Amino acid sequence: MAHDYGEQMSLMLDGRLTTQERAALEAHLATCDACRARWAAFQQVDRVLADAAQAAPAPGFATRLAARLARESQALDMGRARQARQATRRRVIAGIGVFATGAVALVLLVVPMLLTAWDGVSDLVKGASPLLNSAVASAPSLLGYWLESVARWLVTLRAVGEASESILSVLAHSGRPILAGYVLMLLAITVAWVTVIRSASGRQNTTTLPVLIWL
Amino acid sequence: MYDNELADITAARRGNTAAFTRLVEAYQSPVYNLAYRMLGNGGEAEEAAQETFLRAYTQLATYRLGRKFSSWLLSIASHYCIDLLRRRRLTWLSIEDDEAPAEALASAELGPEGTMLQTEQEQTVRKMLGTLPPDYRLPVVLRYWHDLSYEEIAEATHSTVSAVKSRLFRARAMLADRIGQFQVAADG
Repeated sequence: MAHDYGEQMSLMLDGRLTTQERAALEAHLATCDACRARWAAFQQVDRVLADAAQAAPAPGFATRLAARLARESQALDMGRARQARQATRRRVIAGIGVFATGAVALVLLVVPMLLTAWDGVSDLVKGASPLLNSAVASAPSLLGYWLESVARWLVTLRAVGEASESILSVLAHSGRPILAGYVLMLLAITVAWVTVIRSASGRQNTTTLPVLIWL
Repeated sequence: MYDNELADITAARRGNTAAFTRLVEAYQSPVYNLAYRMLGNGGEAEEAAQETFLRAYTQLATYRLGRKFSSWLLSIASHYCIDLLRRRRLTWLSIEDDEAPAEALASAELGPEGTMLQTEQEQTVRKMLGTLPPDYRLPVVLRYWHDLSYEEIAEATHSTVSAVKSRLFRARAMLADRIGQFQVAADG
């Protein structure tokens, strides 16, 4: 009865035994008739397979294949063209979607800015603004209001930037930059509209409102 | 790998059939041999080799530059043959059935090279391979005829090195059990 050296014999034929493993197998074979007979059978199989010839196709294989390729390439090209059309259609639809979303986002962002600016100008003209109470609606006071308005939005943008920095650091690892862009866009729109709503509800100190929201 | 092989692959990717034909001419023998050893039939091997190259032509965009092109082709051929054998349930050929190899030889459309294969030794080899299940036959063919390492066989067959090691051992053990019968049958 041969011992359990079959796998070692197979590895030996492929030269995948270490020097020590090889020596151990050879030492065992020197003392075990059954394993020696088994090893001889393995070697015989190895010789027969190693000596076998390489089969080759009948002459003209490349020509026959080229003819088949020419026959089937028409169907293949039709399929490729159909796939290309579908891919183009998908790209156009996606482009329209992105453009529409961007346009809506732009409107949602610009409208609150215009509203707050318009309210301020309107207040100045109507004399309801505290600025107007302390001074005539003159060019310097109008300029002052616009400067204050610009400063207010700069503070807002800075607050959004700081907030988005921490959000981006999280989303950057998600491997979804589009998702990060949408989150930032929603953030900016929310800030803009909250500012408008709070301003419309009578809060006067709108300059610090966006900052308070994000701190 | 032959000179300008990379240039031919790049050109074939762009649809240059002349470049693809040069690739076919370079690798037709190994691809055909694998199919012939797996299927044991010249006609089926021709069809399998053609199908392998057609698939390669349509999938050239997925070929990773840097990988051995021959290994990639053999991988496609291996999967085609294994799928075919599984579909047709041609897993085992009886050693006592002398008709099967004879029929296979008769139906083979072999050229002068094919004639050379009709020897006693060749019949012994085909009977030996025919007794192996396809999953064991494939690593034997890739090892003996294509000289692939265990790692390359594992990559070509989408398996692991330990699975390759195990299958080669089991295949050799099965053949060693019957090597005497194979050779007696060939002599008779």
